[in-house]
Amino acid sequence: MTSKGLRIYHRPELTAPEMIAAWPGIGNIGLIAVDTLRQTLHAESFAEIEPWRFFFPRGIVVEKGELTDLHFPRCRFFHTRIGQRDLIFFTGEEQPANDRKSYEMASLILDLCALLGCKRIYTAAAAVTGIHHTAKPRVWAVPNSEDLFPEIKQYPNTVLLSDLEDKGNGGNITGLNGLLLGVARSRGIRGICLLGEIPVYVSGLLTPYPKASRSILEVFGHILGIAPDLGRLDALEQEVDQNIAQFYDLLPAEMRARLDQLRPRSASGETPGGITEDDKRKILQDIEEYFKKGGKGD
Amino acid sequence: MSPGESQRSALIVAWRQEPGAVGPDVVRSLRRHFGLDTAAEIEPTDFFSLEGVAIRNDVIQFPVSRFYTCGQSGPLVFLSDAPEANHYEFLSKLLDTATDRFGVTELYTVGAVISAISHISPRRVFGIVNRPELIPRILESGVVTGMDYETPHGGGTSISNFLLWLAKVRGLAGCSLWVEIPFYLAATVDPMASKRMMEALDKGLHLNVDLRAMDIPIAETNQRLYELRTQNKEVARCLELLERGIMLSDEESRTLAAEVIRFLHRR
Repeated sequence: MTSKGLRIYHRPELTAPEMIAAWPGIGNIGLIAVDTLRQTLHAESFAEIEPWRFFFPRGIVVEKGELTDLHFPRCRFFHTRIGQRDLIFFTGEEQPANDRKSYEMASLILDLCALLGCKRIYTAAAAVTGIHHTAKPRVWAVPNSEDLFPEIKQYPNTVLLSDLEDKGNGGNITGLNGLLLGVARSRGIRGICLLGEIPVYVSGLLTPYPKASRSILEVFGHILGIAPDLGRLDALEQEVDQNIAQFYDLLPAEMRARLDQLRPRSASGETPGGITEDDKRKILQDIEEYFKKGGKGD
Repeated sequence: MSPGESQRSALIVAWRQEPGAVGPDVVRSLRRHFGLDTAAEIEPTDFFSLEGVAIRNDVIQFPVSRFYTCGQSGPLVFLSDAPEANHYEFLSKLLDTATDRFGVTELYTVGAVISAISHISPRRVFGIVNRPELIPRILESGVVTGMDYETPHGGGTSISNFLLWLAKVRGLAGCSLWVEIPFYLAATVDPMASKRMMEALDKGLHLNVDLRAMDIPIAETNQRLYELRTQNKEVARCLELLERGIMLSDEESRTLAAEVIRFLHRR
């Protein structure tokens, strides 16, 4: 079955499904979380977005001189059921290159949501902030409807933007992880974006940050009433931790001392190290200046 | 296409930024033979950044995407800058115009593949088809084909192959042609590659174009490179290695390319 721009291999029987979506982004936090959950729950692909409208091909397949295929980034829908609960996963291997294409893709996803009677959408992404890499990342939850606040307040290790002193209830979510929920709001579909915290000094390293993905997965576990197997993140998390520790050791002593002030002091790793918000702002300004200068200091 | 069949049903697509300026050179050659008339144009809005203009070879550029007719019976020609955005829409517009307005039934794209050969080596033309029945025909044109290939991870592909695939999806027969270019001529001109490409098109489409005029820039380029070779020992050494089929190091390749461009672009 082909709807315009969508290829639906088979249409699963669904009852008021919920969708969980993610694309690549900073630290690949959202995508790693959603992909891990999808794999853990053995969700099966049932549809995909025709990619050629959105992406330039990545490569070709030629057999005996004939062009037989093009490789495009894939944007696929998966389905699984937990008890009586139908779940749809959407994962995109790449985000479209411009705003118009992103909007078109969001609309296409929501067309399928409407077709399937989807009642709720979750997306997952990164929140770049002034935490230390040894701290347990919190999850920032941003709904597209005010009536979701009470539900969010039940989530573990989760904050609203209004809980963050320096955010003043406002901010923005770049890319499709935010846009999808904006377009969903305009169509009356409720949704929540879950943003896992990543240290500002790690966000530019082009490394995955599975520690934040784990925090998001814990929230998904609460939402879905399951305990997903997070063991599959262990190896990646260990490798990334080692790489970040090596990078940290290469920073000038003065910068490291500033960042050390962000270190958590509590055993759980959740409490920052006894500094005020003003101190934190100043540290973040210093860090930003440092990296603007190409990490060369004064 | 068989001899005597109208060539108007064929579309030749060339891109301005192709290495060695092969695309513009091929169109120039067709213009010389047929005389080209502008027949249609794709507006740049939506496909190119218009925040400013590029400067190339000291001259301001502007993206142009035009169809040309070649007299009464010659092929349809499309010469364009490669789009920067909305590639699918651009290529769809290209194919819609070609088929719906001009009745095109066959597509040929002109491209170049950078190679570690010397400029005095013969240039091969490779072909990728979107229908297997085209293979015997392009073999008759002296085009090398029949290869198996898959882009390695992270490799990317070209706008011509994207077009060829979209044509395949629409049932439009097509072939992307790729002529070898010595790497050190990629950023400048390679008239020998352009002539070789024209020979392949001429045979494949039965154009009967007089290609002798293309020998003049070939001789000029060869003469200029000979002068450079006599003046610059490092260039001479690198060219000699290439002529003996010996690969250059990255550093040698960079030096050779830089020296050749500097010399050929000297005004």
